[in-house]
Amino acid sequence: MTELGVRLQVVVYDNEVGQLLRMARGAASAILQATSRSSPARHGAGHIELGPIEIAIGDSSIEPSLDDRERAALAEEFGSVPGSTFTYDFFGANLGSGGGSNRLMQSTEADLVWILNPDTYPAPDALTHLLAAIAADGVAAADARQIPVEHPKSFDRVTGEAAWVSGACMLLRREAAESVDGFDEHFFPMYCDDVDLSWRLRLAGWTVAHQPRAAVFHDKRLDGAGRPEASPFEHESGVLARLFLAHRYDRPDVVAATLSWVDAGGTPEHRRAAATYRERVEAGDVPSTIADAARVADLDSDFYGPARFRY
Amino acid sequence: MAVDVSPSNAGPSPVADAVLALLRDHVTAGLVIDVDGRAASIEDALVASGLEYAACTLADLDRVAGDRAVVAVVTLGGPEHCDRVDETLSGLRSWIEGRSAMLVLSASNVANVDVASKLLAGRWDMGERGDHRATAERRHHFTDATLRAATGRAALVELAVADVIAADDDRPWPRGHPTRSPTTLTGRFVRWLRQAADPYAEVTDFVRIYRADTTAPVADHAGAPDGSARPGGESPFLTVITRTMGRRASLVDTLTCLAAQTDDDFEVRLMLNTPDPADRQRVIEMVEAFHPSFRSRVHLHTSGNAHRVSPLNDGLEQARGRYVTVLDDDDLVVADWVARFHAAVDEHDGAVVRCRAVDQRADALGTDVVATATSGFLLPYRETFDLASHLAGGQTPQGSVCFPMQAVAALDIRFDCDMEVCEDLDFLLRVATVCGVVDTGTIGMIYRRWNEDQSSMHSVAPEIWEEALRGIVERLDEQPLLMPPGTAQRLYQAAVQERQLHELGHGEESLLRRMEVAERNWSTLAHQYAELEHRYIELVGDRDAWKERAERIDADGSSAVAHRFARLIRRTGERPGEAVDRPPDR
Repeated sequence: MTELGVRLQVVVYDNEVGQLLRMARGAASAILQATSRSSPARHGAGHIELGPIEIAIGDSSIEPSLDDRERAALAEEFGSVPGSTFTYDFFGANLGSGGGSNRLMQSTEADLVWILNPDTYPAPDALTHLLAAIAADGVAAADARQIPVEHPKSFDRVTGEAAWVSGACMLLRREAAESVDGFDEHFFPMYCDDVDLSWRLRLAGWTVAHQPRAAVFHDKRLDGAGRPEASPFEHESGVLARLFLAHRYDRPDVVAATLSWVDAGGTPEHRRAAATYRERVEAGDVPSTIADAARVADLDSDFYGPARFRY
Repeated sequence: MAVDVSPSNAGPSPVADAVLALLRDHVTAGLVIDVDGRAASIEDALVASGLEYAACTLADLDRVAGDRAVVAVVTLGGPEHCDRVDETLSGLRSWIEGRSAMLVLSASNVANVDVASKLLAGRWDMGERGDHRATAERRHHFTDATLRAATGRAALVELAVADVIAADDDRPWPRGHPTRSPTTLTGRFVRWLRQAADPYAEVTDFVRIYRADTTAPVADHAGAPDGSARPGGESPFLTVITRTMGRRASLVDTLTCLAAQTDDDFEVRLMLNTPDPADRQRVIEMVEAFHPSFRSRVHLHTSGNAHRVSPLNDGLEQARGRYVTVLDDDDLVVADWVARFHAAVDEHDGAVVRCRAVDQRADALGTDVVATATSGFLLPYRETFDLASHLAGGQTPQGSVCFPMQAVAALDIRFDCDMEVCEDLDFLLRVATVCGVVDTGTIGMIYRRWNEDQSSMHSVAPEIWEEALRGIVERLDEQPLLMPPGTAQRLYQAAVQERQLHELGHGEESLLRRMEVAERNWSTLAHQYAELEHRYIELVGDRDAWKERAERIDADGSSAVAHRFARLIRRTGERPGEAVDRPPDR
């Protein structure tokens, strides 16, 4: 049995306090269950004993998302976790999702880092099951099954092995993350930084796993056609992230095809993403290229890897 | 209170007859005291039954009774006319308790369906006599529930009931009025609606006999659940009823979706239906693991090994919410599921509220049913509620609709435990046809379709579903249906479609007739063909003879005419068409 310290870290950006309190209630319950000796789910996992618990909130907003009273309320929600420490770090700049996660990771010695989106609510047994998944040999990171809108990416039903794991609710071995220099901050502001990290971990010999037993509520809504709703920001960032990912993994054909698709009939958001990409290439502000990564870098599938279904 | 106790104040009446019947059944010999003298018409009958009769006011009870053995006190309409009901009934109870007597009382039923009909017509006093319930002397009006509550508070225990339904002729109400007549659509609907609330719609007067018992617990006559009537603080907006056998890991998904709601003005009634203590313990631990802000709103009810449907009715009994919904232990909802319901109710209080559901196919991993999706979201359900479409099958999974508890209580609607399937559709339609349905216009709920045999959809034969649907339609057809605005357009479209089908039907008939004619023609042709064929065979039979004769003529070479004649004979022996099909070089 191994005792490992764990750091829960959440990067926020102008999130409402109600949303953060919701996340805190779910996360606190999940940590309590994972640390409870009487937890029946934990008996099933059984391989990892949790040591010190740290909770770290990183604020990437231009102005602090929370005032003092709201920070105190958030700290109070986590106060139910015995012996835990709580920090709220206002970065003073928008570091993006990956940059914020890296900044927070630099301030911990914890063995495991639990990365959580602010718009989530983990099931009480989510962390327990994630611990079970990451306890397997060679697993650097494990992600949870998102509800009510489940991600379509495929996974091995026996080992959980997947092409990549989602940063919405990911348990990560810090040692593994640091060995590949963590998230690439060029994936600014967000999206696909988790895909990129997963692929680099896999190139380094690690595996990443999906844990269907760990459920996390991710606040996604459906549009009238029964598809996950996406905001204009998500449309823009999604295209930009795809271009970065193609650039990173040496797929100029995918970059060209994406830009061509945008130029031919993209929305204003898509065109903004294309323009940003061109500017950042010009400025050298893009992820460095990794060649010969076809073994892991699947840019030809819709979901950067095999999928079980489509929305 | 000054009361005229002269016998002239009381003529023969069905109420007095009912009082007489109760007394004959419950007392044998002794004095019956008629408080206020309204039962004077039965004096002779009482005496004939071996009883004594005396009339007096409340204040004179002791004096009139004296040392005689009092077996009953009768007060007709007394509770309605007194100033303080509780005080009067308690006083009467105390008096009869001391004498070991019974109390017989009557009270008009203010909730008689006639009153409802009258008020709907904007009327109160009608006819020559006016409505006897509307007399100015009445200080209190009773329904069955309020009478039971009042007598219960006074420690009066009901022994028997002889409620009166006045004959139609006795009712001061014009015959044939649309809201009153039991044969008009409106009249029938009003009656059905009133009858659904309690069994006393037609009762004009309550006539009941009681004994005193101060040791009996005061019964709670709050009636059916309606949220607002329950003790224990303010009612939440919504009650979520979830049935579970405690074996599905998918329950944690459902509870997590609920815990993550943006609107927490709801409670959960978790109906655990299993005899297995281990399952029960698992569910308790699952709930206990949630944050206190959520788990404090989850109430666990164990029903052991109940019928599949009865836990839903148990949930209704326990529900404290103003609205109620049912979410299965494998359903998922989005974060604003409650909030959307709530917002719609704020605008349309009392209506059934519906969001749209989607289906998603899923595999169950492991024996404890961990779900993993295998399809995107499927849209088999109508975007908006439509009664006609629902009659042909479910378009609204139960987690995508919430019901006003006031309607459920007022109409005493419960899930039908005799139904093997479709009890949710039956419940929906019974409430919807009274309250109407408002759509939120958003997708709020995800119904899991298990790829393996995990749902009733897979395990029940299609005939059972069809039979259940037929039963629902038949039940709806038993009374007039209230249809929402816009239904005329829908009916119009249906009528047009029906006409078009009818016309198509005519076209089909015409086509059939033409086919019959063609068939007859074909038959004739076939007959003619057979005759020709027969004739041909005869000709072929003669061919050899003719051929031989032709060859003989030809061989003679006697003349060109004979030669041409011989060629003609040879060609006559050929089968039709042989000359065309035969290869030219053959």
